[in-house]
Amino acid sequence: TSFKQINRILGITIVFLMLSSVLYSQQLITVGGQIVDENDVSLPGVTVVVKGTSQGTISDIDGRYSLSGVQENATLVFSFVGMLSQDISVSSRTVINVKMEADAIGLEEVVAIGYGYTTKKELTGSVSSVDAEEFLQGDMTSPIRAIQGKVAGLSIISSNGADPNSDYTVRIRGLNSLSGGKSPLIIVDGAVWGGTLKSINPEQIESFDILKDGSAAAIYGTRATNGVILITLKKPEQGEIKCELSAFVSYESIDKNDLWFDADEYRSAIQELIPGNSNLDKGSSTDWLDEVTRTPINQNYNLSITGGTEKLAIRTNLSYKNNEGLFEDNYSNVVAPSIFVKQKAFNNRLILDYKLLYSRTTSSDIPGGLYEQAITRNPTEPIYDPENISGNKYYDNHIQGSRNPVAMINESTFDREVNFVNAVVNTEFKLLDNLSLNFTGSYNVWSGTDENYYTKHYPLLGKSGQAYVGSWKTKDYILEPSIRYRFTLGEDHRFNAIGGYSYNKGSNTSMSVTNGNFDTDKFSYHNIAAGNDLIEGLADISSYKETNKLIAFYGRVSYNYKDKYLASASLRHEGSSRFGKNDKWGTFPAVSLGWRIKEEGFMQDVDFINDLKVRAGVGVTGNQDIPNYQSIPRLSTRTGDSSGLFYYKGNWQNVYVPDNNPNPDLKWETKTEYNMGIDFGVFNRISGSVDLYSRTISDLLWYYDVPVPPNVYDKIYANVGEMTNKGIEITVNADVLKTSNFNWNSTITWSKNKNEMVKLSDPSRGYELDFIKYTPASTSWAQLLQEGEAVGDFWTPIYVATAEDGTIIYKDLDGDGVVDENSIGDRKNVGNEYPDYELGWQNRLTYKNFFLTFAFRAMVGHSLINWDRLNYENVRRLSDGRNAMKSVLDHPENFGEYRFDDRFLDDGTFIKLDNVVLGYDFKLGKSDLRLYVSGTNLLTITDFEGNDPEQIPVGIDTNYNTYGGDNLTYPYSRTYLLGLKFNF
Amino acid sequence: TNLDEELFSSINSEEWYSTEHECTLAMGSAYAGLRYRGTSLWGLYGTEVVTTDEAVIPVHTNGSWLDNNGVWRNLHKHKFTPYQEAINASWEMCFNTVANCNQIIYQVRNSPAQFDGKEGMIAELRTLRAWALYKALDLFGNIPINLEFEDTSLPSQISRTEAFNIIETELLESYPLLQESPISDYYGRCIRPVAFAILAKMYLNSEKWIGHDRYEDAKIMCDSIINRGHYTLESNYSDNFIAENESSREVIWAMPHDRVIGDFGFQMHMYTLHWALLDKFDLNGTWCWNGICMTEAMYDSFSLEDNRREGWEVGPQFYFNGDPVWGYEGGQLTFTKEITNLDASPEGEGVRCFKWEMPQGLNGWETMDNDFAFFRYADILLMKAEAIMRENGNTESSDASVLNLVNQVRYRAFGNDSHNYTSITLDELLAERGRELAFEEVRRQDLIRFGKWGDEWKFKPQSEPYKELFPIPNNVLNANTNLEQNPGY
Repeated sequence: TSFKQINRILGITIVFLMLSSVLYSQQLITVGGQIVDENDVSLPGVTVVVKGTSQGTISDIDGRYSLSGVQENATLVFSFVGMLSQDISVSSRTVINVKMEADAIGLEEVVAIGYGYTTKKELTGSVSSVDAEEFLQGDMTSPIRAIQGKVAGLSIISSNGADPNSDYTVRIRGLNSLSGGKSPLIIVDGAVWGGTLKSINPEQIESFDILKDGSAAAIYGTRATNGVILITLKKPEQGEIKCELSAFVSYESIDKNDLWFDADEYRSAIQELIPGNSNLDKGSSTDWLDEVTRTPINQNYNLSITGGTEKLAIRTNLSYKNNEGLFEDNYSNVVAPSIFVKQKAFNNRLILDYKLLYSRTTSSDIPGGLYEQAITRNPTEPIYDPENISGNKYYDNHIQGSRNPVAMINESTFDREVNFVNAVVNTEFKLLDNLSLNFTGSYNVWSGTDENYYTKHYPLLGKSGQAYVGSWKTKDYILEPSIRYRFTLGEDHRFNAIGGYSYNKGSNTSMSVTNGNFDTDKFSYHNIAAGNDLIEGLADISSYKETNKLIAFYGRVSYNYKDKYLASASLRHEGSSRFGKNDKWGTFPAVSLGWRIKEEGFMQDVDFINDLKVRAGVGVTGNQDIPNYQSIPRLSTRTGDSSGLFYYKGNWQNVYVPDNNPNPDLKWETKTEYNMGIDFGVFNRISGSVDLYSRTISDLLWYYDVPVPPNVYDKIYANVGEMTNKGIEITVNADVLKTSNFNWNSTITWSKNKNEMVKLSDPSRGYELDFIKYTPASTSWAQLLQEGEAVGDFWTPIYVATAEDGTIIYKDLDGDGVVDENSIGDRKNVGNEYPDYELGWQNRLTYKNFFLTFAFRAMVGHSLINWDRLNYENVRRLSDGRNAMKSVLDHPENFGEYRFDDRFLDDGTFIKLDNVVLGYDFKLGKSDLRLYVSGTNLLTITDFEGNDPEQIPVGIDTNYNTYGGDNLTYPYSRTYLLGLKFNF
Repeated sequence: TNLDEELFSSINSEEWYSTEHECTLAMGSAYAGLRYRGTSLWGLYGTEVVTTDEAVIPVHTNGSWLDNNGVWRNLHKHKFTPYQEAINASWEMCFNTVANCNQIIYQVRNSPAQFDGKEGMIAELRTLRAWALYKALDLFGNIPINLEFEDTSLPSQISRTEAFNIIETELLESYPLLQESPISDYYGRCIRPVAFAILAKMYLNSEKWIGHDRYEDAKIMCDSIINRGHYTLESNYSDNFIAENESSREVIWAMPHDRVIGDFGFQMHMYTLHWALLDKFDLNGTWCWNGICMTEAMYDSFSLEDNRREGWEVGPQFYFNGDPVWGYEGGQLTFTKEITNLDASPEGEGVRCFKWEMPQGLNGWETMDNDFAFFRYADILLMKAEAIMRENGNTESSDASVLNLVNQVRYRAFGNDSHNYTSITLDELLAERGRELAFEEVRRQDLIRFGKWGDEWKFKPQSEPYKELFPIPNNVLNANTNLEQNPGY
């Protein structure tokens, strides 16, 4: 049916075109000339357009251009990234030479918006752009890290320390959903990116454009609530062959904290805290972390070559990246070739863009819990025990759940291979100079295999070897025809319109096999049928498939009056298969306005102001990022689960269990956002913007507890609540110093967000929650969510003292004579998981050919559960035979239960020196060579005593299984790097 | 623009129930749902065993994980809260079973499939549902009852008497359609004697629960089982608890367990064994918790000649070849009956439960093979004796019909009749029930019926009468605002 829609649109369009193409015939000439920059160096790639039309060309390698068929009285517009654009009247001249001037405040910068581009000047929504030249340099484990701290309101946090196989968690303007997805939509060159950001090679990225507010993002409808990140990759360039080679080597060192006992400290600690317990000192001195970690060397090479003619230009890219993890046998290795082709045909009326990206990642993970085992193991234990023949001579401490870390690493294998193919075709057919038909087709396939093996000596494995082989595949395809039309009414009323259709279908499939009890370890996972568990009926096999579909119609009109008054309106009508049959479709409108005050007559004489613009917009977006099939009543099997089998007539049979409560009224969360902003530029060296926003998310999805019966399942996905986020974002960029030899450019970003859970109940439908106690702490609940309060509030009992027998005494806050640490009355709000504000500060200093960049980032005012202290600042850890934190010496009273209270909620405020780069640019004839050294994560200033204060806030989330605090899954590292970039 | 979802790895429940086989597999889910919560510490074992004077879980020093921050000690001390996992899971088990049965009954009834056993299947599901409601009535007292799948209103609590009557009616209407005798095809399922056993339990407790004396009816229900002649006491007490106990002729209804069902289920080996015994029983990749123990008082109530005492382990531990098992605190691992300190108890303190044959060679979290009996014939005999005594208003009896019943059990326990009762008091009867049915999830109900639930015992002070009911779990109250918390909580 989707093709029917396309045909219908095509039909209407063609009729329309035939009518409009009859309308003009004129006196025409050919204009040409040369374009140079301020230093009279010829400037290739400048766009020359006849004003009010789409007729235009691009200057060649020598800066020359030629444009035929130009009206004698036309105006030519010359524009180039980073330069001020110029309007020059032809006045019957045939030669027009132009000198372009640098644009200090980037007004002409091209900005990607949904389904198209505009300039910074014309922008009416809240969109932040970061170009490749501004990226942080260095060993960016994920490309998104290159813009960490650079965009106000964009929070980028490592998901798992320095793990080479984890990615970064990205949030725009706070938390905007409880049970739905929280990550922004990622669009690469117009097509939705289905997988991890890590698989995009940072060297290929030309720019990031972040659509922050609702008016900018609404054209992406049901997926845009969490904002949209548009990534533009470098495109083929016409002209002579150009090569860019970049390479670096880096090494990492563990960001070790000095919070845990070493062997000698441990010995004196047990003397002091539990005297007479001679069992605990095992007589050796082992630095367990040292035994399982290393100093990794990482390498990265990238070669890209581009060139061609106007009719056919190609860019190829080949990259290789090898990241060694901090742990032995832990790595990630990526080979990624790609090719881009740009073709023009039919007198440049047809433009074809092909892109084929491929990447192959092989990697190896560490066994789960390794870091915690290493950190918390008794440092006086030896690694090996020659007596333990059956245990392959590893020392076994016989403590529940305790595994020898060296054995964990040596006796396990975790191999993964992920292949990714992204094929995209973009075609544009210009029916007229100002009217084109576009089509984007994209196909993504991610497929991966995981192959694991634990040998029979793996600690606490419980069987003689265990193998796992699993594979998965995620596929999606997108078909998006659209029509674009530019027109002018009179001289000054410029319009730009787009209308389109989008069809998006995705599927996930997976299968896996687990088998155990092998006769030999020799097979590893390569002969999985050999395990004896299969014979005994104890092996596991599974396969799975799910699909989903999105269909949308969208359109946008933007209007520009003399570059002074700007307006844009968009609409998306979209349906998602994930929602209930009563609510499949929704409509997402947006309107935004801009007023460039600088263009007003009264501002013309105010010279110190280069630009002043106010913007305002409102937009509606949705969130459909929930599991599939929540609206359908389903039965599923539970193989491998004790409640999955039924003893029937002497045999075990599958059972079919209700899997969910169906909700036929299930629909997306709807966010309405108002945004107001000011963009300014003053003194030709300071520019910036301030944005104020207020967003309301209604029909908030929550996984509600419902009574059973009448329901068949104890939870239901339902749209009930409402939440708001209000905030302010400030970005200021300044050329602090500007001399012929020495320049200093500095950018500060600051953002603050305030969240409120307005309501979370609808008594008329039986959904009523006075509050939710959220339990990321294993010992008791930790967060309280109430209507009228913010998500992420920690409520704890208030510690008073510990009695002789270890009983912890808490304050009787409600004064009722009884302390019930689980009741709200005896708890207090002592902090929130989300920062009060976030701050970024980037600097670039140049002196002649030297440059130095450094970037600081801070999160201020948030609280974190200090899991290390909660669990390991306790004498009982020592008496249980494990290691503890040194601070236990100050707290000998902690020897009983692990209780979460205000003692273990720490201030998470930190300032990090994220990135420092020092480099030198050589000019070698026509080639450029850059050599640089860089360091990342060099310094953290914080009072937090734990692994790291930079943690992902999780809010309240029934789907999430992380902690809402610092935890010991992977250490952090500092990286030092030596790199080069060579353009020739 | 077709946005219907396609299912691949699960099934739209509206498209199920079209054949007898599909109905049967759906019915299976109602049974299988009991398995873990019905026999786990984090389920009925937590609410019906740990809370009584027969069992205790001390904090054993040197690494006990079973303490879970005091929850088992608190349950034992009758410090109940609406947040305790075992209480929550007990509620869930009961009401998930009710909801699931409601749906299956509705679907089977409306299924186009016509088959011989259809009415019997519905009766079987009604009986299973009645058992779940009987458990809920016992544990929580003030319960909501909704028996219609199509009724989507939020249920409200009804009086205990009303609930009692509904459950009774359900059972009386269903039992004639149930499979009559315990043939092997019906092992582990609700057959007619199961309905009688539930009714017998309800009538025996009727006076305590709803103030209405039904001892005559209790006796009739016990007779309905006894007079059928299908059941008999196994000559060896321990045969009821071996791994292959499905052959026992004493078991009326059991939850079948088997290693192949996967993880969890019935895991006494993990609950009770000291970790030094892992090797002895060839348990791999798991960790025993050195947790649940029989109380000293209960252990002392066994006389030395009582065969049932053999299921309870004290003394020095040896491997099968006679080598001593070394503990972790120095010296041979030795279990003692005394527990000195509930909060910090040396590794060997406490009587361990070897009543169910210890498994060998289990891996990880695999369940034991031993099926767990919810109703056993010996229980029925003792219940009938109690019903007669109570019906006659006796606190002590030398009635031949009473003694005959109790002494059947007694004789089997000692292998001779020299320990037979010549007269028996109610207290002695309770003690006999305690020894015969220890750790079988009957003690809580018994203590309440005999008025001893609130008594002080070692590590537990007296508890208030409202503790006879558990609090309704907090999330249940949140989800259904019609419900009120039980008084006292």
